[in-house]
Amino acid sequence: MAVRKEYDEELQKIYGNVRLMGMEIIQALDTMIYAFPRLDVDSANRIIANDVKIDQMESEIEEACIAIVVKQQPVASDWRRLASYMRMISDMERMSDNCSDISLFIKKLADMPRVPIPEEFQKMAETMRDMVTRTIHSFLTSDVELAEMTIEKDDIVDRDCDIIMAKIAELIKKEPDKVEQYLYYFLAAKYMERIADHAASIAAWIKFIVNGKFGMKYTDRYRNEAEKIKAETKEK
Amino acid sequence: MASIIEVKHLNLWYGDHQALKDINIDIPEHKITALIGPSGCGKSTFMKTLNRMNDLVKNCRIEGDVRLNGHDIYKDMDVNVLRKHVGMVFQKANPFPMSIYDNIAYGPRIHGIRNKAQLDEIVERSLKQAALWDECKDRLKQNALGMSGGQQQRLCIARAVAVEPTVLLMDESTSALDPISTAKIEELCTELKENYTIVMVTHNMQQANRISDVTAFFLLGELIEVGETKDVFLNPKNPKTEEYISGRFG
Repeated sequence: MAVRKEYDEELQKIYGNVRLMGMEIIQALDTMIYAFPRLDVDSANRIIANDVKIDQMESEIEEACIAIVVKQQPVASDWRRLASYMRMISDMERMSDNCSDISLFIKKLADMPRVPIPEEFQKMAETMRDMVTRTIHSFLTSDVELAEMTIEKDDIVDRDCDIIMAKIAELIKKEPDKVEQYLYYFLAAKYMERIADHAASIAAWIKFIVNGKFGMKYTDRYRNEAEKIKAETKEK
Repeated sequence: MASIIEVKHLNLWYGDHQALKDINIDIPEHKITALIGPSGCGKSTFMKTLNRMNDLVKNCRIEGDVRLNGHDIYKDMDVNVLRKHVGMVFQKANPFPMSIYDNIAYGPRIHGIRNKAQLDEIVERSLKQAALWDECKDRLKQNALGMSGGQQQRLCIARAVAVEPTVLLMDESTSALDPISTAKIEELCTELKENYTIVMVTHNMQQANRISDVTAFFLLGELIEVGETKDVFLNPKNPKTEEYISGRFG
């Protein structure tokens, strides 16, 4: 016999709102990826305007999660879901902020003389978008394998970001009078890389929802760096 | 975790009705083990097998092994010795209609302690262990029935620990108490586990989650799942456990 009907309905409502927030993020991302190479100001403005809506969604979901935790004291998979939702929506909100940041750069860049940008930008943006859509899909389907594949892809975005940054550094040396434009592109690359990090973080929470195992992603880059520092400290 | 009680293939019948079905569980020493499950699932029956309270029930038949520190409690142990080792606190506080002092001294006297100084020491130690000493040290000769419900229940705990058991069984011992008295007893349990092993039956999921180290879920006479409390409440292995602890079991 089904009991706790009201509780289940409330949980379902929160799930539905997290899903909607995910859809809004994909929309923001698609718009940003379209606007970025074209320096399309109208699209950039739409992203910035929509960021307020996404912030609002985050705080409403957060409030609903806190209320249900206080009133219903969820345990087991209910608790895993709610705890994860609270982390996931925070990641999503940051993704939206990053899209808005990039949109602000688009608006500034649109008023400046154009500069060539590294071709890896498009590839990185597509990989990053693919990560986000896979993450949202794995959330909707509770697909742990897909979530794991998403996490793995983060390394590709990290590498592409490193390449782009190195190329932009070279371009700045060649065209120091265009440093402002290049700096915006430099920061845009970093924000795209951060969006991919947030997608990986969400994917790790999806794994936690499904199988209860913590699976936070620590990139090889940081692990290698940390080991290097440790070895250096030992030597001293 | 070292086990103090080992239960193997325990089956129990009340007449034709089988109340426990092939129960296998190890109770870890110096830990709190919570037994949870819906009414009639067998958790209290199981707990009563640990100090042979079911011996008194007519037509009760028990098969299997229940060992306390390696000794089979149904074969190798006198029931009075067993109950000295395995004390019990019930749902409803049941102080004897006598003074606070005599309530505590009752058990030790039965076990042959007559020396006044020794009894004084036991009464003080037991009341301190039950976090009751400061509240009643000046009225030890007063009737225990004059105490509040929460105090009476702590007195029962003090009475149980006075004979220095190794295991303390608690059968819904806070279910009739207000939240403050409940909190005091829960705090007391976490202190007592340093010296004793506690097995508690509770219908309060939050309580089991809060204070127990191990949780065992019973359903229809079967032990469905047992594990560390944090695992059982965060990621139960059996869907029936999940349904029950999340309140969807109707």
